[in-house]
Amino acid sequence: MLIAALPPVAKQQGSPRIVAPMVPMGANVGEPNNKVMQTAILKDALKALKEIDVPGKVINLPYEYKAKI
Amino acid sequence: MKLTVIEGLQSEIYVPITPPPVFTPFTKELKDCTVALVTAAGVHLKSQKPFNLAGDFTFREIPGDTPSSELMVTHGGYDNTDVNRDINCMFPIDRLRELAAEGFIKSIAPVNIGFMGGGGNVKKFQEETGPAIAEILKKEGVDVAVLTAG
Repeated sequence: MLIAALPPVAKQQGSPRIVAPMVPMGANVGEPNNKVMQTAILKDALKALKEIDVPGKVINLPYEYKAKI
Repeated sequence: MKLTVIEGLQSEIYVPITPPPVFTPFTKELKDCTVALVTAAGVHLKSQKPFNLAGDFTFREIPGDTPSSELMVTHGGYDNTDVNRDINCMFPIDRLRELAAEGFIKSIAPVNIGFMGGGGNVKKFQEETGPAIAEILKKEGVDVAVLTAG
C-alpha cells in the first residue's frame, strides 16, 4: 500500500494500491506532530487494502495539510 | 477525426511505460497482520551510513523497536523541513507501534526499510534493490508493506 502525495506519478509507476491524502511531498502521512491526522491516514491506508480490488486503483483520503515552507 | 500516422516518428521527450502492477490479493484480517514500513524518503538510523545524494540504490534496515529520535533523513529530492521536525510524517513508526498496541494490527515488522528514491539507477532498483527488500520482508513474515514515496 502506497501513501502518495503525487498520485498520478504513483499510478504511472505501476503501484498496485495507492491512497492519496491532500499533502505535499515530504509529509505523505500528514502534518508533522499531528498525531490525530497521521493515525487517521495510516489507518485509512491499511483499511484500503480490503477496498482496492483492482491494481492501480487510487483512493483519495479526506485529510489536508498545506506546508508553510 | 483522422489521425496522421508517420512511421518511425519518435517523441523527443522520454515517456516511461507503466509497468504492469504486481498485485497480491489481500485475504487476512488487519488485526492478524505484521506490517512493515518501506520508504523512499531517505530515512535511516543516525548511526548508519547516510545515502549518497548524487544517487544511491542501497537500502537501510530499520528495526521495528527503533526510537524515532534515532532516525534521520538523507535525501536531496524533496524539502526535508517537515520530516526533520517529525520523522513520522514520512516514516510513521510511532503511529504504527500505537496501532499494534491498540490491536488494530498484530505487530510492526522486526525489520523496516529506508532507501533514497527520486532517481538514481532505476534498473538497479528494479532488478536488485526491490527484490532484495521483498526477500527480507518475506523472510521476516511480513503480511503488509506500507510505502511512502512520490
